[in-house]
Amino acid sequence: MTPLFLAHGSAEFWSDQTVNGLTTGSIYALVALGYTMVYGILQLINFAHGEVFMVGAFAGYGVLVALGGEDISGVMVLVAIILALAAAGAASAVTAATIERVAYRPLRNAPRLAPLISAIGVSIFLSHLVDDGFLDGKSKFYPQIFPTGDLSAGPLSISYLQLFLIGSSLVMMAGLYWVVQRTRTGKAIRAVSESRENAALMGIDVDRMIVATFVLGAIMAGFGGVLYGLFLSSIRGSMGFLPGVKAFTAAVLGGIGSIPGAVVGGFFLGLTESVGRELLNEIPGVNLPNEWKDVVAFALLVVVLIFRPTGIFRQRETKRA
Amino acid sequence: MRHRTWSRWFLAIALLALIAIAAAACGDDDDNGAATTAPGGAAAKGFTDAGYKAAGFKTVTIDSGASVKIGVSSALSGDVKGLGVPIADSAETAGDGVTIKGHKVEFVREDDLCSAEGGPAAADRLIKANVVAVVGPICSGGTRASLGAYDKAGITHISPSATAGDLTTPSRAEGPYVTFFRVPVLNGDEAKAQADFAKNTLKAKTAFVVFDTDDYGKDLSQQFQNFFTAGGGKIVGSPAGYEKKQNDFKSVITSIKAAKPDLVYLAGFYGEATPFLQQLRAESDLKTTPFMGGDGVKNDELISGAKDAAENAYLALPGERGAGFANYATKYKAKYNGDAETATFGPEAYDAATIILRAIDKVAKDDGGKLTIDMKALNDAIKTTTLTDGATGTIKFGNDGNRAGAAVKFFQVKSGKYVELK
Amino acid sequence: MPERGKLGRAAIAAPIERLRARTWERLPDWTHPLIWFALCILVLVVPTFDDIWVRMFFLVGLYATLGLGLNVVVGMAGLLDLGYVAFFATGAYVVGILSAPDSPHYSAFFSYWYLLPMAVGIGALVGVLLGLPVLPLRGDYLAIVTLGFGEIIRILALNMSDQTNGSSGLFEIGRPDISYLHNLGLTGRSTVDNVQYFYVMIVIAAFAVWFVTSRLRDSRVGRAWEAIREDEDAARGMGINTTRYKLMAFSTGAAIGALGGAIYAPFIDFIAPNSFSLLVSINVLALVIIGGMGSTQGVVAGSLILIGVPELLQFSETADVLSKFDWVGQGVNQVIDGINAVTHLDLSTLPPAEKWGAKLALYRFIIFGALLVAIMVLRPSGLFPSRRRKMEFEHTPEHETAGPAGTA
Repeated sequence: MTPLFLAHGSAEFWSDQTVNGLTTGSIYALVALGYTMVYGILQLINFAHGEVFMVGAFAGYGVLVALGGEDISGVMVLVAIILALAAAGAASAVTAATIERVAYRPLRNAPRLAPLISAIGVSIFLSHLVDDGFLDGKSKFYPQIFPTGDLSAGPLSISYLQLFLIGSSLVMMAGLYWVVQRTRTGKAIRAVSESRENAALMGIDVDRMIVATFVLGAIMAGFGGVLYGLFLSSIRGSMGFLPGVKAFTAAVLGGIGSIPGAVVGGFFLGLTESVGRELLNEIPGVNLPNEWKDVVAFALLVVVLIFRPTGIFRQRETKRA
Repeated sequence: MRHRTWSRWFLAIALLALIAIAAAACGDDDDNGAATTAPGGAAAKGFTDAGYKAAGFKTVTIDSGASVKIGVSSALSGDVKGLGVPIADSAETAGDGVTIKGHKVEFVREDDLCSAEGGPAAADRLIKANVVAVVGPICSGGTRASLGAYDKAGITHISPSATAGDLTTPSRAEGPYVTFFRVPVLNGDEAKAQADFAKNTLKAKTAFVVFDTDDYGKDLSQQFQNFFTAGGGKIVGSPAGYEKKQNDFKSVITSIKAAKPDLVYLAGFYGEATPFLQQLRAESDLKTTPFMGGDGVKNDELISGAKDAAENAYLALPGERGAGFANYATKYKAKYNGDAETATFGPEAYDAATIILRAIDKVAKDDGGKLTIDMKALNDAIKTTTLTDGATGTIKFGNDGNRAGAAVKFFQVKSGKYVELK
Repeated sequence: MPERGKLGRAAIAAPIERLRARTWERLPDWTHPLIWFALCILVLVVPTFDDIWVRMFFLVGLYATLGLGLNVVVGMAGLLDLGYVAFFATGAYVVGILSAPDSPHYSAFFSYWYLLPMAVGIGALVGVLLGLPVLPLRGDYLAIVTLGFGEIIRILALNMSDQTNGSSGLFEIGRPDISYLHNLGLTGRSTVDNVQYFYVMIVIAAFAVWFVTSRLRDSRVGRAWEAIREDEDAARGMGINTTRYKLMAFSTGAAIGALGGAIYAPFIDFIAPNSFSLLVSINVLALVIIGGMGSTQGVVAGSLILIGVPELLQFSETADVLSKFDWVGQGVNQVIDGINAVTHLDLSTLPPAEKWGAKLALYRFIIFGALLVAIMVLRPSGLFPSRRRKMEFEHTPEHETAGPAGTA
């Protein structure tokens, strides 16, 4: 049980773990955006968001397989992935809008916990519908079409796939930020999340803006689903649960309701899982193998919340208390 | 506000304590592993009189016209379904055209989900369905958890696939459960063969171990580590455990990359081995590092899922072709359109069911159309069986329920097919 | 089209509400206790049913007990706890670790009757320990942290093999010894080891928990909880030591959860980490809310629906009943054949009815999820909202929605 990175040239190991953390973190961040936006506008933990992410992953898978699966090569890879992303965004958006219509809107004025239970119901329904109803408990595997190879400089190296994942997710997040900050819809969404009543008085269609929030979050989750599939290959009906919980954790870490917070929280959590555990292992006498990584992540969440009870970006919290 | 300050300190201390406990627990793990599963395994004590006294053998009567029920406890849904359904089908294949003194044979299938929770639940339902004997459970965890239930009910069960060593050496004073037998080669034997193969054929000096945290994976990986180090090999990095349905192995793979092993060893099932292999082979440094898995990994779905990433993987599979294999293959093909070549543990299940059916035929007494079966006599008949025409070769049980002597074969994936290595 | 949801809801919910108003509420008050009495008699008759039914009612009783416990935390004190399973697991593991022969810490010294209070005590302690650092958190922050604790306890149980036997689990857990009662000639057995006896045990436990929690609710403590739930800052302003009362609520709930675990462990005879997944927490929370937060009838009704129905779907009796409906399947198949012949859609036909039972058992979680949504949409404040809470909902719906952004 020697700390292996001390025995081996450690710089490469640490840079690899950092890249792993950033990649997982970028997926968490994409999913966390949906949680944080919906929470910001409805104060609802959208438990079904993980399943929206799952639907996106399957839609992307369908497109990739329809375009030839493993046989896709050359420039077609890029085309296929863009089409897969588009399909995933669309499928997730439709799913989220449907969920909002069926399970949340009727509960707009209900006691606070009713939509939470309804959300949990949707989550259980969708994940088991895919797992038990369609796939019979089996996984599907994304075709491995992305060109392999590394970009390296000294001890630092990053695979093309990871570079693409981190880069594209940053672009998507920037896109979302632009939509929320600069467009009419974005401004209306922010107005509704400030105060639903006042926004309505200003002539904003509150219901439409709530749907728009769900749709925007869902598109990000759908993109995240495809990136997840490209990165980790296996997808299944219950795949949304753990990333969902992690992404929600990330949103809380960052300060729920805050869009930059969700992004920072996502990367922070991803890094904790990969680098954080190994750092703890540096302490003499501590040996936390891989199976403890979720414990480390949740313990970190508790610590952060103890010292900053409203997350890293503690904005607007006084209102919500 | 003073409360809050205090509780922050409290938490910091609590977390330190948690980490200390964790570190201590892991340290202990290693010591215990070495002590209890030393190479060769602890000597099995064998069945005792007290064990026979503890079992709740009864005599069952089957009405005239009613069929003789045989239970099958296997994974019929979920991740291990790819192993579980062929097992159930193969067991039923053995009952084709068989009647016992004029009574039909009926198989009752229950889904044990390959889990420690599913095992006892399936046992419960099978016992309620008045089965005479059972083929199963499929996995070690479920078997361990249901040994007591079957024993109490006096129902003898033969597992075609539960391979954890200590299932037949429980810690109770009465010795092994007398109602439990099994057909497959034990984890210890498989691990020993794998360690020998790694050392002699693959010339591996170092290995990195990845394992499923369930009974099977923990036991197999621990035994492999023991045999591999006893043979002069070295385990590099900390063995990495994962839970079923996990598919993010990137962090583990980075540790593998840093450890630069001669061999990557995985003890688990194909459901997780598939994404693991894909992520392993996506790493340019690890494209050609040999990979070895065990019986849980060898499944057609590994190849269809991982495709190119599965190429050149080494898989160990205990068991051999016996005189009855061709017969089994024809019947399995005819009834379920199944391919006996790829049905891991199918032949074992077929043999387990055959042993049960023949033993029932031997001890069942015809009582004017009714059938009476003394469960103790049935248990004895199974214990003393010598099956010479089994699909997995000759089967005899030792005095602890384990199969006496069996071989381990090795396969390599070549152009999308499992090729046996001689 | 957009109005369909509302119409459907009104069409189903209104008649139920009307039915309730016409029957239950029109009955003279003095008959209500009589009806409850009749229900109590029903509870007493259950043990004469077939084992599988008694087992189902045991589970319903168990979850009702857990529901009453969680109700203290969520319903009375307003602390959203998504990790209630942590305490359930604590109770089960205290009993399991000390009484399973395979356990590393097996001790023949402890009889079950020592272990039960020990489990409850340790449960309360764990509640305090987990509660102390997290109780300053509010609302959803608390929810995610408790969810984390639930998962941590499960992963600890899985990986600390030297204490818990890891994924192998602990089995042959010590059964409650009642030889004293047996010697008095009161019971037919000297240990509690069949479903009927366990059923009686859980009924007694449920009544005890109900008695304690309902006394608590009407006490000083209960009123303090209510004040905290409604407005924590105001409660503190009134001189209520909020941290102390929140801790009390947390540890009371934890003790009840541990009690449930301590009864569950010997009943199921086998515990392993996977028995303590998030689904348990979700089940308990869902039945509390579906039943109607804060009401005892609600908890019982919620657990009948959420625990009873999925169990029912797995019964072979259910499968037998379904298999009698083959003619329905054949009819549907003929229609499908017809459609296929005309449209070339090539829809697959239904399997034979004898397979339906197995399918239903397989699909039970899909049904469970849909059921959660349906009940919440049809009756947002639960099946039996407690009278006091119901008044709150009816009089201040605006406050509920505006609360987070507008007031405070």
